[in-house]
Amino acid sequence: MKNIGIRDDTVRPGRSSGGRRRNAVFYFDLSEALPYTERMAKMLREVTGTVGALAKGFAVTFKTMFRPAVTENYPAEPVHFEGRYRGLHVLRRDENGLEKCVACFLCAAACPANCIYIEAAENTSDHRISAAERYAKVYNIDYNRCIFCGYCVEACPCDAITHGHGFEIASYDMNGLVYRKEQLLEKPPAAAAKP
Amino acid sequence: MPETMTTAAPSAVTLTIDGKTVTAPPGTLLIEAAKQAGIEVPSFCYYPGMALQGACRMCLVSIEKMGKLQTACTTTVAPGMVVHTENDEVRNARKAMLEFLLTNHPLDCPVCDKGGECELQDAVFRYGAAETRFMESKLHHEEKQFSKLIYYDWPRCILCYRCVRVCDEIMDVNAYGVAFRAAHSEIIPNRGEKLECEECGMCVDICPVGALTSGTYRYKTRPWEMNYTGTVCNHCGDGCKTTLSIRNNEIIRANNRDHSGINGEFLCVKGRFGWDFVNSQERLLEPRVRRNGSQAPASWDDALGLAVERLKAVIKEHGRDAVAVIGSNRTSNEENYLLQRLARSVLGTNNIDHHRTADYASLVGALTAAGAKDRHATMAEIASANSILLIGNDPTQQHPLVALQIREAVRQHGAHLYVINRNRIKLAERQAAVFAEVKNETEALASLIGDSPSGELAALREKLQAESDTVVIFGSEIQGRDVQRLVRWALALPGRTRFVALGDYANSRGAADMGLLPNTLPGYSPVSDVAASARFESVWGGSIPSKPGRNIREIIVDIDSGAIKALLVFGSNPAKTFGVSKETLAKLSLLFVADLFPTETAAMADVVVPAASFAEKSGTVTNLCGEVQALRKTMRKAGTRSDFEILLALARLLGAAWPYRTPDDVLREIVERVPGYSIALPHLLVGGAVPTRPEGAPLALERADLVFSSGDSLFTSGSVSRFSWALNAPEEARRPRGHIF
Ligand code: SF4
Ligand code: SF4
Ligand code: SF4
Ligand code: SF4
Ligand code: SF4
Ligand code: FES
Repeated sequence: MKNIGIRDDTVRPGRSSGGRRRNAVFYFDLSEALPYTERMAKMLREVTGTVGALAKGFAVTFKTMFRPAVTENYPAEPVHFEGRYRGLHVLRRDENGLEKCVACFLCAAACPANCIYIEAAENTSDHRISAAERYAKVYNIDYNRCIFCGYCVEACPCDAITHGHGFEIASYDMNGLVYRKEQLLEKPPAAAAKP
Repeated sequence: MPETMTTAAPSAVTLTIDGKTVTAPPGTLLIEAAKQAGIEVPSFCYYPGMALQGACRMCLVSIEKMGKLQTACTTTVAPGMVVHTENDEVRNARKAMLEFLLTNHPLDCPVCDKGGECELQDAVFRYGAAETRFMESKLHHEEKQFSKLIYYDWPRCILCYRCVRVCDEIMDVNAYGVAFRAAHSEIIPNRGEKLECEECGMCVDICPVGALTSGTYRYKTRPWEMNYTGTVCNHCGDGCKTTLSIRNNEIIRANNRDHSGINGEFLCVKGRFGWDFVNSQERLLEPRVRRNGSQAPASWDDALGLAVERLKAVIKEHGRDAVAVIGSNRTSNEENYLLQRLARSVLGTNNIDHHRTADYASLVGALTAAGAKDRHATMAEIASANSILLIGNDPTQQHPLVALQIREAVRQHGAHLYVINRNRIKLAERQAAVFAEVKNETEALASLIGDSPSGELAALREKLQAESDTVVIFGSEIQGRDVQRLVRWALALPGRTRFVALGDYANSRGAADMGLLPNTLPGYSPVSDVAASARFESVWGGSIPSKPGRNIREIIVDIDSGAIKALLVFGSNPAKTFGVSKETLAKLSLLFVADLFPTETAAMADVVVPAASFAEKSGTVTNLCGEVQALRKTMRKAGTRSDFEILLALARLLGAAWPYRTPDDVLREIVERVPGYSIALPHLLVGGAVPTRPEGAPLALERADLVFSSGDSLFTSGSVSRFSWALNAPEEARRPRGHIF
């Protein structure tokens, strides 16, 4: 008996096994080339090393077993987010309930995916949508293309566009992924106040 | 350093700007000398071509051996001057000036219409002065609506007075003034609460900031959101170059963005605001066919099929002479060329005409006969002439660019303007050196060139004799034989003379040049000229009838008499222009109309097809000076087809195999075949205006009522202006024609 291989997947019948063998859990070179004492010392070193490594690894496993779980039980339970999570956009309103967006198009200019589409219009005294002269009559974000980079939010001088935490937008219909202003807009204060 | 610097005149001044040696003629402003050396000195109040203001102090530069910083816009170059335009001292001064300008400025760039193309925004970016050190809150005034087309936002105004000066000096309207003092200064209309002016929008265009805004563009979009296409205004015959700004297949604004071409930054109210007819809800968008007395929508195939079927029936039954064609003053040269080819070589008739608004055939004929076919003045030559003789017409109302060129000639280098007119037109009141107020321009001309001119005409003639370089400009009042007399007489004057005939619409000149006339082929050769016909027959095949056709008046008479059975009308409204009655039109077996709008003529048609507007097609147009410019397709209008496509389809259905695929193919044929049109295409393609030199036999004008002006004002443009909001909204649009602003 020259070699004792334990679970060596790489050794195939009829092939010379020369050199290193991979995927063996234990591999002892029991050839007669070395003196007995050295062979024994080497074997013991390998056994203790392996057992040590296993103990270290399982220590982590055991420690973690007694920590509270971080895995979210979604969709059975709601998901929790870090505050800065970049989800579906929300168009904000000011303290008077007017839309903050003044249709300056800077978000659209900053957007690397070119997925924001705006049509601007002028506020009049009897039809006031935003606090400034101009408002966004149409504001679409095409979520087929949005990469949630947050550049639009950074570009906005009015803090009008922010990232919300919405993320459930998977759809079988690409058309439905073009979100309109009405879908993106924060609810008016009166409606928002209701529970 | 540019080439020009090294080859300056001997008397030139040499100085150093930022270490560069610059040579400029004496009297050059430092700011211009720097510009020539490629150094930009920021400026707000300085504007080339207008009086110096020295108001904004943005152009401060430091000049060695001069104690204080100097304004580059008012300092002239001096030998040995050493100028620094960007050292710390200058930068700090500019930053301080900006801080001062921003004292009450809202810096609401996200909302401001000018954001993205604002000179103040650029300067603040460059020098940084956006934080204010003032504790006091900023002064504020509410925005004012100066007119339906122009708004003024006081807090944004930096009081550069460009608007005041452009309106006074360049437009000669003087509608603005400055009221109050110091921090409370504000721009106000000079005649009451509202503007009372030509509404050209030059002030909006020239305002470096967002203080003056346009009623049609306001708060609609942002400059980087639009596509820009350079093309040519489609209203009057002056042919201003304009840039249409397009978003979502809709024109949002027009301005000559790069200030290139024959008009620089100039556009009148029609060019700047009156393009909105293109977006009109009343545009025809589908063909209509009359069945059982009333028009109903039809497919293109049905409409064109029916037209061709009836045409064939008429020709079969009544002969080719029973067909007539009326062309347009606005369609492109290529379309006009094809229209007359359709008439002459496919339908086989010379019964083709259009509403002639100036007698170009007589002008070209007279100049050719006198061996002076290069004496057509270009638009630029009007402004550079030493003297101008203006007979008839009212350019201020009908030809705003020509009027501007005349005013510039007088203002910039003291040219003498001689006016012969039956009305006290504005140019006569304000710029004329001699004004002969006459009863009738034709009689006045006879007197002027006769043996003993009377009164003012005598003085006028005497002065003209002394001029070295005269441009003679005349309206439709001078036509036929009178044009020949005028040309002969003026060419015999001691000085050099050149001529301009004032045709009303964007391609009036092109319509005549391309042969939309019963007696001439493209390029004014008579139809009876066998050699000229052969020139075209060799490419068209078949033969061109050699007998002159009916002119437009005869066409109308013969529709009534029943001799004409089929009439094709392209982009024209004879029912209104020539007062053709419904009863007359009802006698036709086929009235085919291609137009943008449901006009009076279209309402009577058996077949109406929706045509594309100037913004929706490419091609070329020729302005009243004979300069060819390119129209560029800027947008699409679903449902319409260009006249080019309509003509191609008609020809195909009539069995003619035309080889053209694009208007360019037609242009190539025009350049090759039409006398005077062998123009340089590269110049045309880069947006230039290329002069033509047509020649033709002096043909007698058939009758006196063929050439007449449409009598448009600043706010009207034939049958088109009623479909424009911008041309009807201003109060001034309701002033009587000829009103002087
Ligand atoms: S969301 Fe902000 S950046 Fe975008 S248009 Fe509105 S105001 Fe401008
Ligand atoms: S998150 Fe990025 S990709 Fe998405 S809309 Fe904003 S800028 Fe565009
Ligand atoms: S005028 Fe210029 S600087 Fe002033 S708010 Fe408008 S864009 Fe900004
Ligand atoms: S309105 Fe504009 S052009 Fe006129 S003074 Fe003010 S900033 Fe200058
Ligand atoms: S002058 Fe004539 S061509 Fe020029 S913008 Fe006015 S209407 Fe158009
Ligand atoms: S540009 Fe020189 S003072 Fe305004």
